[in-house]
Amino acid sequence: MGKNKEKEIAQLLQEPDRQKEAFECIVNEYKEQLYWQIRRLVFSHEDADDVLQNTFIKAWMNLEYFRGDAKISTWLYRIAFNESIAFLNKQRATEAISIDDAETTLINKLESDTYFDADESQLEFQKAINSLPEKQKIIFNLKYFQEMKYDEMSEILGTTVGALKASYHHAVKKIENLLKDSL
Amino acid sequence: MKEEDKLIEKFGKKNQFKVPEGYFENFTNNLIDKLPPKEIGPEPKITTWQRIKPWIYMTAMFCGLMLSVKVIIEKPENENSTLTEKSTDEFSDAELEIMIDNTMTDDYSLYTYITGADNNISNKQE
Repeated sequence: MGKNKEKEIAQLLQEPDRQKEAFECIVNEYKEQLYWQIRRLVFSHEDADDVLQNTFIKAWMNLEYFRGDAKISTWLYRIAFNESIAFLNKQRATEAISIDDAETTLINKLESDTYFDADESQLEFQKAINSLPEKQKIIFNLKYFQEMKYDEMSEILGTTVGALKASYHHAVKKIENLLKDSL
Repeated sequence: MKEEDKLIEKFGKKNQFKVPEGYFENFTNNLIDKLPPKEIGPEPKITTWQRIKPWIYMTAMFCGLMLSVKVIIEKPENENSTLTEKSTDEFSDAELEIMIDNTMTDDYSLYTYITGADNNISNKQE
């Protein structure tokens, strides 16, 4: 979304009778990019759909707390990642499983998912990515698949650019190490 | 050359996940229908705690920063001194991660230090 358009939307959000119209623009603009980031964390389409809806509903309910000095995308991404992590933690707690078992559960979901259309090698790639700690996984997905710049990532995640670069570097090395027989 | 070139060459960046047909096209309308009504109430009051919270967080961060500088720079006085080891052992991985974020090392130096160290190791292995 261009700076001018974003400014216009931010202004409309302040007008109670035009809030919904402005919010609809926001949903249309960001639904896909948010969905894919969520999906890469939770794997299942149904779960990603739930988390995405919760993300936007939470944003809607907290519009008053949106600070106009931050970008709308930054704010939404933060909510989306928090909702994704909360979802995964809740799932682990509900099923009373350890982090390692949770990893296995997610991969099993992926293997049986009709909306995951990939060969064995891609599945191994996803397994390797899934083995990363949550924050590192988010950083890897944002950089590798979305090619997000570190400055923007820093605003979203509240981590310094240096720490992000170091984290991404380690993520790449870890994945390469896990898949060294395939590379 | 990007550090992830090997991965890109082998696995690419193609999105392997799919969605049901029409999912994105219908998403916005379905969501807007579900949005709870907004009650136009009084403006949220900013409490004293909300006003002083940023200052408290800044003070805590400054203390953490000073502590991390002390831990990183301080050298043991003698071989038997385990003060530095003990100090770092007390901290969990999460706390260490926070300290790394807040060290006074500038971003580029931190990055080159880590990647430079890795290059040295890989050169030795070759």
